[in-house]
Amino acid sequence: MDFLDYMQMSAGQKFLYKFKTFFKNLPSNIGKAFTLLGQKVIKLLNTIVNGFANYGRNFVKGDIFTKLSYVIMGAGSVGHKQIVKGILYFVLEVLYFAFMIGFAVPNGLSQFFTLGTVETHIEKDTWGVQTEIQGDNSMHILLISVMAMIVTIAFFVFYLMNIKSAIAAQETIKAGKKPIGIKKELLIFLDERFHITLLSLPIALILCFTILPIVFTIFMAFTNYDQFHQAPQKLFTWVGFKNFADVFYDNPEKSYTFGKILGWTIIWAFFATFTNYIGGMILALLINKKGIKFKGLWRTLFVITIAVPNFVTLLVMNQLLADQGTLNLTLKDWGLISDSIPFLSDANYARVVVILVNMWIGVPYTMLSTSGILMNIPEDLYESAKIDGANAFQTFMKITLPYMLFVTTPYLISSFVGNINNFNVIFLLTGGEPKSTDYYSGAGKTDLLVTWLYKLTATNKDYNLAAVIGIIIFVICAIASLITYNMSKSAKDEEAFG
Amino acid sequence: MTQAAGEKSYSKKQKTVNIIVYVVLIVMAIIWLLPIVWLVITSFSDQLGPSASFIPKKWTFQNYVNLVTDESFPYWRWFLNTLFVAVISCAISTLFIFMTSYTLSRLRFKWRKRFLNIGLILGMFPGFMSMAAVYAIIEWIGLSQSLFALILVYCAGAAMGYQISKGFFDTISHSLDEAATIDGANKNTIFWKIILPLSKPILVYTALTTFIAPWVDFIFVSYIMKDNRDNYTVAYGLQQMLERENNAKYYTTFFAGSVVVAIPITILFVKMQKYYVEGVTGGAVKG
Amino acid sequence: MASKAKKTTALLLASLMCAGAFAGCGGNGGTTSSTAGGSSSTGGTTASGDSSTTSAVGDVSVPTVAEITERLKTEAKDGKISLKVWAPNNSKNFIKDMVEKFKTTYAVDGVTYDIKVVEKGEDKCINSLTEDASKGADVFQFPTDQLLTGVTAGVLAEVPTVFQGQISSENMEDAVKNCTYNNKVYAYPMTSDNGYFLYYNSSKFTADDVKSFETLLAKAKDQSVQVLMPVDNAWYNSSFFYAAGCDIKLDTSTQKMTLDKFASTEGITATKAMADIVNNNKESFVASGDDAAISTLLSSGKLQAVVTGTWNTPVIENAWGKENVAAAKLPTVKMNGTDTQLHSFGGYKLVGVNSASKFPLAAATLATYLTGSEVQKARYEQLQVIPTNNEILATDALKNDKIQKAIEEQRPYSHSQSVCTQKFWDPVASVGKDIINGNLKSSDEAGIKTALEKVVKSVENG
Repeated sequence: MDFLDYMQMSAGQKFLYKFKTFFKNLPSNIGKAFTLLGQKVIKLLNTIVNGFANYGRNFVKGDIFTKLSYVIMGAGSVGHKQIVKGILYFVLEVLYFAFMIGFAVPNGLSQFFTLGTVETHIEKDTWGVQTEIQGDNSMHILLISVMAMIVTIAFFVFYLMNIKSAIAAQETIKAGKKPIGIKKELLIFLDERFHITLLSLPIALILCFTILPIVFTIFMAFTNYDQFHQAPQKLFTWVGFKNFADVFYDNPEKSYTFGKILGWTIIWAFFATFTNYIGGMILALLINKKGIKFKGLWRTLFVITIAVPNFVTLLVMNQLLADQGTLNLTLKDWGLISDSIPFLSDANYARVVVILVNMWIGVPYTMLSTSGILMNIPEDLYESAKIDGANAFQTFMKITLPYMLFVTTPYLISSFVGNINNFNVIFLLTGGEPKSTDYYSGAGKTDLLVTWLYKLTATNKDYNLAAVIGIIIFVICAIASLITYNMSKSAKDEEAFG
Repeated sequence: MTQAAGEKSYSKKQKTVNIIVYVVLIVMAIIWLLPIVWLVITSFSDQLGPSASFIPKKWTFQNYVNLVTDESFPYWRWFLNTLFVAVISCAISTLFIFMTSYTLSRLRFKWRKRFLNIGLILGMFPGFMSMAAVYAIIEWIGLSQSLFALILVYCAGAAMGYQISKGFFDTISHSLDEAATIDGANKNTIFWKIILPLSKPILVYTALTTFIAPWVDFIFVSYIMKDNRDNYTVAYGLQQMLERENNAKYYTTFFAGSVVVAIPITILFVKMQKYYVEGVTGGAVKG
Repeated sequence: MASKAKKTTALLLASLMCAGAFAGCGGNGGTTSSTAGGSSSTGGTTASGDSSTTSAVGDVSVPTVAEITERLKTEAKDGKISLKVWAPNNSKNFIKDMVEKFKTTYAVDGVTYDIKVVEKGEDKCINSLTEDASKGADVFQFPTDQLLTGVTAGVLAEVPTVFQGQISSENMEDAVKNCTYNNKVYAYPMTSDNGYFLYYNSSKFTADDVKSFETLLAKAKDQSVQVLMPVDNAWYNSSFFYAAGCDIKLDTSTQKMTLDKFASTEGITATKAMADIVNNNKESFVASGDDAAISTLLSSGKLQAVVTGTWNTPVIENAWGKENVAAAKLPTVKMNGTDTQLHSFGGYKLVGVNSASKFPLAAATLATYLTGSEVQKARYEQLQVIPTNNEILATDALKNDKIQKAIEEQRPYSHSQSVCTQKFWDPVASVGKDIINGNLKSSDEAGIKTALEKVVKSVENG
């Protein structure tokens, strides 16, 4: 089936076709995703086994300096006349052990399994004035442990590089050549290894401020770090999979809340993505229609709404739509309504309103980003439709929409994932309200997983539960992306044949 | 019917269609602009708290004066803070994003695919899920409650936003690099002399988005600054004006402050619209 | 980092031992003569002269200013005592002035005070402390209902035993009770007006009109004006349940709440009464609305009576004109045909001390000073908030204060909200919300019963 065949189907057929293929391919796509994952794991294991084998082989093959560099980093380089490089390696090793022995082990790793034993307590003097005696800080222990793990992995990479470079130098000497000096080595970083030069700083920062915190938070999901065990006043410790069990089945209140919020999150992400997508496209088509004047002006009018920061517009909308807000009071004043319309205080209204307001925010953005592609749709496609006597709506359903869907799949995926994590719209517009008595404390009917996560951290202080939710959000996004990635890959193959 | 008459009726039909389109556009424009008009109008209302009607009973400029004079809500200080953070983090973040996306798009090396995947995976964790840990790290470095902490947080994760500009770099022809390599240029030279001059739209796009980020973030600000009001940024400060205890006194000041922050960003946006569209269509959609 | 933490720990230990050693001497020096912390009228640096009033409780007597300053000298680090105070927007300047007075009253030789007053909303203090107590204020204000959260998280320092006697003898008994949890005193009572009552415009209603809700609403309808009571908020709608004879209990050891008689006839009566008020007075009764809504409705000129608290006084005065603002206890409501007085939650605003404070005695002394009679008096005069201090409450100024009168009238029917944990608010609020949405009608007794059972279940087991 190629694109032209596809284009000749009617809108209904196309939809059916998409629908059918989606579900037909869904199991195999999920299957493929997991096979892919399995393959990756096997490949990784292979690499590790090979690595160890190489490690041993190279030790046997190596000369005295190379052998020495297995214990003293840089020995191989110094022995093979790459003095500066060797010294750098050695300094790195010293720094690493200083960090581990002087800091990470006593303050973190040694207590990793208990997360601290001495609780912060209070001592009083004769007047009853209390002083807090700091005990162990479970959070710092865990954080330092994670840091030590990451540093160790990074160190291990350098350690292997050190061996590799020792062997390379040994072989160069064996071949009767001179190993390259430090100056030449540095020059390589502007050419063959330019990627290392460019990436090392960003990666170092990502390690510190993204990976380290994420790994820490993942660990946190397995502890009892909640409102009753808050560091540094109280200790927390490991509880295994209890938090996951709570969320999935063990604690009726939490699992009910989770199920409901998950359902709404997915409904929201779907509608938010497609209403914006289609709305934006229609607006772009209207503005770009032949014979419409002042295109620039129209575009600018809508661009203004993107330009006003959305936290402002959302807070304004929140004030405007409140039960006793300006809109309701004005409508009452005009005698159009007698009771306030519960735009934000009734669950069903609120859910529709957040999607509509999200359109208000997102449509101009989609309009801007799709204009270019819409103009790129081959003119002959439209011509043929015109000859067939199709009206504007038919042309849109038959040509524009399928073409756009075809070209912009990656954009749709990323905006779907973006909407699952769309914090601002919900948080500023409704704050997750209206609250529900059936939900775990504080969660509301328009809460998304991500706003619930925020509430759990900022208000409830159930850090462990928040971490579990964070992991679940990640898994959902990952699965969605993996499946669609596979599908769009097959779609691309189709295109190639067409 | 003659040919000419057919065309005439066709163009007549076109005209009615166009009129309908104009009407739809006007209605949509009104819906879209109404809240913004209300925002501007209310900023001139002489009432301190929320008001029941769209049009203020009395007009005043006092709310704008309050932005400069009120010492509990030192708006101008927050404005300068934000500008400071935005300028620095825009420069650094744009550099990081360019470094990363250029590398991942145009250089071929062993771990490229793996980096792409890791970047994708990390992007799927909700941003503030690990806020508590980020805060602890910032405190260790000794930067808590400072503007540099904000800059650090905004820049540190910037490199992960490489996707769109990577998409853009992907579209630049590789033959340019090859020709330059034959001429003896190394990859460093190619980046500065060949790729960068071609990247104006995506450069503007990236700079624009990274410049705006600090103007709209309030979550990290609230978490990092805590009670240090002198170091708030506009977004968090403005949000504070609508909090329960300040609402009755600062409601209209919030509107004035919002207008003031919206003006420069709007001007930037409207001026840079062209590049923005080129950047986003070049990068996001095609990529 | 951790090594730094250890250093701090050592320092704290050392200072504690010093303090302990000095305490021994100080205790011998002046066991009998003592002065009530803030009431030293001279305000000079040598206040020990006028220490004549003895208010010793138990075996610990209230220390004199001299004794306190002597200990403060040892508590100071490098000749400095640094404190941070959180104060809300409306009283920040007042607290600043009082802090200046504190500095002179408790001046210590060779020690400088570095006291910063930082703006922070009262209801956010406890939450901020649980996030990072080390960056928090040493002294701060908070409403009574957050005491439990603070104690659970371990961020509230106990009041030193030597100050407890003075607090309990000078302040309203109920206020002190609200500072106490498991027989330990965790806070210093500051104001007694964190409850609600009825504000009305005296040019629209007479004092008789506001005695019963039914009359009030009828009069409002005649004049086509409105009355607001947010029954979609558990803090307010509990007044119906209490009035009907329901009760709320808390087991402090397990923190489990019990909603007594909520799901039986009493609770149903309360719900029916609430539903009648809401449904029979669509034009004149506004059943929901936060402070923003109150402000909006006041500005529209329609709202002429509202159940709220003193924090809204400025907005109300602004709308009605100061001379028209009148206050009364809550009206009665027809329950099963008889007029029943509505109850209320009567809260307090308290001052707390951060348990992570590096200068615990200085912080406790400042907290005592800021809640002492002198400052309470000044607070009433400058900010018009009602104190907890018995002597000031007995003065003519307060006896004639119309708002204080309303609070006093309401006091017999007011309950402490220290029995409410976080689990209470949302479920109970849902009763009012369901009435407003039309899901609960007063004719549907079975439906009300089911709804109430659900509420009880989620509060008690949740």
